[in-house]
Amino acid sequence: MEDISVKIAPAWEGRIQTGKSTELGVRIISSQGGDFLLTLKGGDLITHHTGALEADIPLDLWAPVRPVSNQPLTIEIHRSEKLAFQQQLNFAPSPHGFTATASGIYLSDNIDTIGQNITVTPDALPRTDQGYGSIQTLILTPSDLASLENAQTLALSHYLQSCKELLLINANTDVLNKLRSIAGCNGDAINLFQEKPKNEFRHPLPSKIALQALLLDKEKHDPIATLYLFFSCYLCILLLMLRATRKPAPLLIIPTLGAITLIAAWTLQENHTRLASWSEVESGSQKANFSALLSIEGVNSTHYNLQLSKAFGLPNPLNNKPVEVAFNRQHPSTEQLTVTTQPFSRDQYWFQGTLPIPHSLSLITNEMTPIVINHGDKNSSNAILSWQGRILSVPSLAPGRQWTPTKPDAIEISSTLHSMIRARTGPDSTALILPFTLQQAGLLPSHVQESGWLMIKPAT
Amino acid sequence: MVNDQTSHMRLIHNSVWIGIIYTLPLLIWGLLQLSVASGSEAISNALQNNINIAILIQASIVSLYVPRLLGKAKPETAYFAILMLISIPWPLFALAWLAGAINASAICFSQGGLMAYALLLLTATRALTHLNLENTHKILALSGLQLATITLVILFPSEWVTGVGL
Repeated sequence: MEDISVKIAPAWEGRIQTGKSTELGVRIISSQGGDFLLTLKGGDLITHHTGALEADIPLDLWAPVRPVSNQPLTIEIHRSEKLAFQQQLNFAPSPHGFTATASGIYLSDNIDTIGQNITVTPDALPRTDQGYGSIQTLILTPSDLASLENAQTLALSHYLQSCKELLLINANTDVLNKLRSIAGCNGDAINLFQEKPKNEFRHPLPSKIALQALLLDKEKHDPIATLYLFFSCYLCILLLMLRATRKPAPLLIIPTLGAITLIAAWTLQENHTRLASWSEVESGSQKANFSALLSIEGVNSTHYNLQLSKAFGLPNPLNNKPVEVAFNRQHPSTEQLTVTTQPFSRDQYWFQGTLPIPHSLSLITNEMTPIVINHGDKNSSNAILSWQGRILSVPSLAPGRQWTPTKPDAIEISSTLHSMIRARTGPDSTALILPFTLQQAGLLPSHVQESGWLMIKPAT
Repeated sequence: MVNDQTSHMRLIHNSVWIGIIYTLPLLIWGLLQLSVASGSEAISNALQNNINIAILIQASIVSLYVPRLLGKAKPETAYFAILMLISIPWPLFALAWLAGAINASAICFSQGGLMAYALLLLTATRALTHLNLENTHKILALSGLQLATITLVILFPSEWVTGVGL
């Protein structure tokens, strides 16, 4: 008889903002070793975590979750396909984000923070990217930063890369600059506590609706149009045979043949998986923030796992069906999205995250004139420059070469891309846009059709 | 002989035309519903409704057509004509099956049931034709048969649909 003990500790004492993710710390101790399956069900998300236990040795696991207020989060552990543990946790999401402090820093009542305050010890800071989902402002000291484990440091770097706010207490300029160098938005979100800026600096990434337009911009598979064509041909052939033949047998074959042809052509088709992505990076930074919309159009009834990089994070399903994601401790850099398709089904998932961008182009502005430089050792790809309200073509540059716009002739691009660039840059901003897919960054399998762009903003 | 052949093909052609005439609106309606419905469940429900209506229309057409036009035809001609009448919308049934709106056995059962109903009507029509009645009475009897069967289809549509296997 197995003796299993499970302790569960939600991050931030279980406090969470509505619609945001958080982290659940799970410690499992079992008298018997072997594989386990941890399943977390709540809201629109079901996650599975697999791994192996050693007898009487505690295993600590931190799982991203996205609970909702009117539905408890169910935690189940299966051993050898039998339910070994089950518990439910209730969350009471708040409409606002939180300000989190470590080390018991005292915050006076008149500080300008949004939402409520949470105080935790440094070892309770999250170890997953999603653990910071409800946090809008983080207040730390350099000693807090020094005491973090590797996983916590990685999670914190993702938090900073996402342009979320960090206020430092008792920190010197070196620490400030070092943190700003790894953060997004040119490090504008990282400040000393007493110098907290009042302005909003983060421009949210493109929404699902904006990405829908990018998805439709690419050649779209339209099964309904194909069916219109098929049935039109069927009726035409029937009418032709009616005039042409004097025997009934050929006429009788046509409906049967038509049905068989439709079935054969349909079953030979595959589900269509497409992705639209938009990534943004500051010139000189090696990590970009991305927003991606994955669309899976079903042709046949299938059930399979789509392997994605863990950088995708938790998917947000756009229909009402819960989404299932599996994590395997033996493959920590990947996650598997469970996909179930039916004929004519269309499921869409929205992702946001950060990823390393080994791009070679940089963009600087010199007295209002933009300069594009190729720092790489290969020729760069063609790009687009948005400058002074115009869209210009940037040619391929040899290694070490630079380019400035001399002939300001605007080029024609698709209206969808034009609208996206306008929405992301504004009339007076400058930005470099080049084709970039998450497949190029190794985050996605090659059979997924992708339409993606990378926007490089000038360094400030 | 030539007249027989011409008459034979004319009956079959008429069946094909009637098949096309009742299938075309079903196709247009079905494809329009596919265009506007969102999600596989909505599409499956739309196609299922389409197929239910198609079965009822097939039963109605058989009720009207068989006694009136096939009563005096040769058996071979009548069988071909009935088959053509029923088979024209088969690609639409195939689409409904592919979309998961209906299973294959239900389709086979429904079409087989309609064939059996058509043959039964044909037999009844021939029996009426061979009765020792005046022409006027024969016409009235056939019209009565048509009216009775079409009334049954209109009054009990769900029984027809479930009765033929859906």
